[in-house]
Amino acid sequence: LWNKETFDFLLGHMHSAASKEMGLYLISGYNLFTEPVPDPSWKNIVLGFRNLTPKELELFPGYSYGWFNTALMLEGRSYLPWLTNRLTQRGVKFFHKKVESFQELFSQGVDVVLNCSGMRSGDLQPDPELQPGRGQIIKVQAPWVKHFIITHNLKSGIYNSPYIIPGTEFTVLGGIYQHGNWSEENNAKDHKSVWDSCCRLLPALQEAKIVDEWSGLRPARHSVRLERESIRLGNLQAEVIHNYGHGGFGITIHWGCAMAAARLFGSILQEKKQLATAPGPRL
Amino acid sequence: MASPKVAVVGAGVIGLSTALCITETCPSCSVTVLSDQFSPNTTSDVAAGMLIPHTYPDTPIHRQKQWFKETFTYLFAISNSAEASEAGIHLVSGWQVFKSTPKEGLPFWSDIVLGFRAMSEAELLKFPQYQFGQAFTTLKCDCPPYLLWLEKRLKAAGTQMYTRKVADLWELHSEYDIVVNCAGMGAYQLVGDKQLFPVRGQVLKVHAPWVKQFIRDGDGLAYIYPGIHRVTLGGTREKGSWNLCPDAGTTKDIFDRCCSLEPSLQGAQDIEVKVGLRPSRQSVRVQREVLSQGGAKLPVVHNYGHGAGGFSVHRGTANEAAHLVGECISALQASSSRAKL
Repeated sequence: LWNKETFDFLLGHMHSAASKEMGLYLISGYNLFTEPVPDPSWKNIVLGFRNLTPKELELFPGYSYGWFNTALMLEGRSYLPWLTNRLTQRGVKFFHKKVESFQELFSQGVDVVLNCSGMRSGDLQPDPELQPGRGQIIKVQAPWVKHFIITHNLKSGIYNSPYIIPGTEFTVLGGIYQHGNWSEENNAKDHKSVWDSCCRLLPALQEAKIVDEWSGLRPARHSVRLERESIRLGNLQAEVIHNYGHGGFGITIHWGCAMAAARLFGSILQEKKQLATAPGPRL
Repeated sequence: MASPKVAVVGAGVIGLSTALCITETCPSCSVTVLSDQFSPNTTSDVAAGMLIPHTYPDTPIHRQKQWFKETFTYLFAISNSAEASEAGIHLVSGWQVFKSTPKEGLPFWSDIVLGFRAMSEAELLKFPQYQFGQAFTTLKCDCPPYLLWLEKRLKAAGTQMYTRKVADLWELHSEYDIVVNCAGMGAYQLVGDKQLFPVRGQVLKVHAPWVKQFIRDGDGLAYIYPGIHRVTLGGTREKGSWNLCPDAGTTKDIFDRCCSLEPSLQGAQDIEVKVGLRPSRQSVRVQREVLSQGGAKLPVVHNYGHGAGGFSVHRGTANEAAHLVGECISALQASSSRAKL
């Protein structure tokens, strides 16, 4: 549901001139498998979903089955500033500081905290289910690549198989997922694995210029933590809405999650209003 | 004839690919390319180079389909190799949309491009003024890279290339055994072909790297073709116009038409305007001819008149022209051995 809500929301923005500013654009591409698999649950959410033809599979030796569809790309580099602008226009204030605890915020008079602290949520409230899903990517200049190519290896698991994703300026090569690894340092073995496997997938990449390399930690959890928590602080009841643990698919479901978090916020507001208008205690 | 001397007139996509095919089918030939223009100043350099065939009214469909199939297969292999980026060949997916459902069911090339199918209702929502559409994946040849890649391969095969304006094919008679005429629009003057006419095309080449898909209006007057570094926006099809100067009003019209198909293009930067004259004809002229003057004979192979479909069929027509060159050589060898008797 969150996936569909997010896709539909973004698709609605596609036909406006703002899409460039948002970093939003349509892109088609390939999902590749070494054996037939059932259609994904999102097949009717994306555009033009179909299976690959034998001729298309000739492009990808080693893969015997696959999907083609048109999807959306949302570049964070542009999207975050766009969101920031919209929030600023609505009077939202931004503070660049490290929050040490929820208590710290409530003691400053905050009524509701929306906890979107991603990978570091554990620092605010221990959560053993939240683990890093370490990824490493190589950014190259390969402007002739117009499609995304995502391979799947049912044995090695998701994100652990090569993928090639063209952006507006660079193309990202990836295929690393290491559960439990907190290192944000680039690793030479991972680099070689990504480079070799992506060049095998798309031989022309051998001529691509490497412009950057980066490691990051996907905030992985068996399910997204999207729930309300009431915290007792002395004689006060403080409200926290958690919205973290989106692993490698945060952008894909972000809007649906945001709306769900907003609904939780709405019910908090409702309760507070009812408390405020409730008749006082009868003596 | 130990080493036939072949002159290819014209250095656009047709001239260069024909020369290359000749070096491949006749390794003993000495091939020279003569042209008054080379990349980046040929008509081919203006074209987007999309493999979406133009239908020639007087060429049998099976022949056009064979040309397209050979071209697609040839480029498909390059796009899948390490040379793809140098050659400027890449796959691109997208949509062809129609304001009213076209009468001609499936185009003849629908089973050659990849994944051809009708657009879904959801996809058509993006184009509110359009009733029907086709989605497919095809290839694009970016120029100059493709022409420069062809030149590089020609040089490696020992082909000489000279900037020279040939005013009359007979000029070449004393230096060459066979002449191949790939002069495109130049054939109008060069061989006096009055069936050849220009179809003027103006295009904009813009910086819009977020556009990854092609969009084409079935009427051919609005198209968005993403290339390696620039997106080609078009276009016009002005039959009979020889005007090579960009027109400002036309630029605005093209830009507006394309922005209504893809609103994000409003943010496109760095707009470059170009004009090319499509060397158009009711049928592509791929044909042998023997010119005579006095007692002298000059075998000629013509390969021109590709109009709006040059890139789509270039390799197929080049193969056919190279085959005709082979026939010319056999004929010359036969007549020279007869002369010895």
